[in-house]
Amino acid sequence: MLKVSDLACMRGEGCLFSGLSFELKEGQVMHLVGSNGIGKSSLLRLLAGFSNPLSGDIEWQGENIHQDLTRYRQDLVFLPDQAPLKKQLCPDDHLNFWQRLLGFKDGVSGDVGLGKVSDLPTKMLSSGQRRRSSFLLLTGTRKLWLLDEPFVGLDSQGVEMLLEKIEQHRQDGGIIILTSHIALDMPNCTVLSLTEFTLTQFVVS
Amino acid sequence: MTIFWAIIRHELKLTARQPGDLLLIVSFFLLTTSLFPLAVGAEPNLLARIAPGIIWVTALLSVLLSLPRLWEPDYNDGSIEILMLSALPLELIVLAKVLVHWLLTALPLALLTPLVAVMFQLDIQALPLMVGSLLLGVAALSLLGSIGAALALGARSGTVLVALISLPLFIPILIFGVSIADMALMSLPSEGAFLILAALTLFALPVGILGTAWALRLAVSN
Repeated sequence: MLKVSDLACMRGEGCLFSGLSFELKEGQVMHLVGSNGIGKSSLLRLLAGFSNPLSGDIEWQGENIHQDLTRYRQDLVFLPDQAPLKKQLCPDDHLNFWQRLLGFKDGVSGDVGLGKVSDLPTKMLSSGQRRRSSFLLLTGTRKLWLLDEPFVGLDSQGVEMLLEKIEQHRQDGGIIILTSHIALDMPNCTVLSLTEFTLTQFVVS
Repeated sequence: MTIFWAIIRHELKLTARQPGDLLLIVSFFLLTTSLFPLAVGAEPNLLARIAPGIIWVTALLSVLLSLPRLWEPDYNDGSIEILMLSALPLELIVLAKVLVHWLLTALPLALLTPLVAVMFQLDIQALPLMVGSLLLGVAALSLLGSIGAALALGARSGTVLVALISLPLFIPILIFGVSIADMALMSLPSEGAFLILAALTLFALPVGILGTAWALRLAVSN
């Protein structure tokens, strides 16, 4: 269970949002919406423990995530808005490395619809294919998925495939938080608009 | 431990698929050292006298040249965040990456040193100490330089910043590294200088690892 209470986030000199609280149980999806620069990515980075909140707490399974960040991160997959790929490696290389790095079980299928191009170096792939390669991170059994703009650059089959992956993960008891500018039709999905938590014209200094 | 080796194998694979950076360091070392006999004149005694200093300074500059490529690619493409999701503490991830950096700079430089030594007519007896001091000293340079490389992440003129942060830390290692070969050339005992270099490298191990991990956490937090 992920519990966020009274979270506030700074970016530069300004306060992005404050007073943000929510709770997500197993099998729930949260869709973050809000205009550009409102702090969706910043919230995801806070939730992944990469940055510290200005105030407030993030709890995972009843424990503050900063108590033992390394252990918390083992339940976590963070997909950055830009696919974290090396241009000289092919998708198969990435899958192979990530399996070892993140401790995925052996023999998990890494089918993200790349077909024949899965042994081509990333620099030869299109942006949609790169996006699909980054979904190889989602092959493990880690519970919490934080996906930053995962639908960008995907074709309609790609969107379909990702929605299926998310639904499958949800049914397996996973928790998914994602940002996207397209409307999503998913069961058990809450939409959170960050606009309600923004303090306009509020500048700390 | 499997994760540690997985990172090392991954880094070696990255270099094998794109050996350009490695070739740059190797050719920089060879070309720069070969300029000195042309510039100062081919007088054997003089060349043999200044050889340890020139080899060491050029090796130091080669390391400096390679440092911006240590963390910047991972930072720019988001791989650093993925590395941080692993069960391995960040300090050990840093150790794995620095180990590979050392392997891919110190080893080529150590292999090329005999060749350069011939060019400078360096006394063959000083050669093992020269190579040994380079292998040891470059480890310290990699460790300390890694802090500078991580601190410069996200800065606009990162390359210059890496040099400015790292050079002051490199000076003690340069001084004792050169004095090992110098003493051997003058037939003086060089154990003392060698032990001091070893102590500096041992000191650089925790400082480099903890400092880099701290700088990396700082870099991803904004």
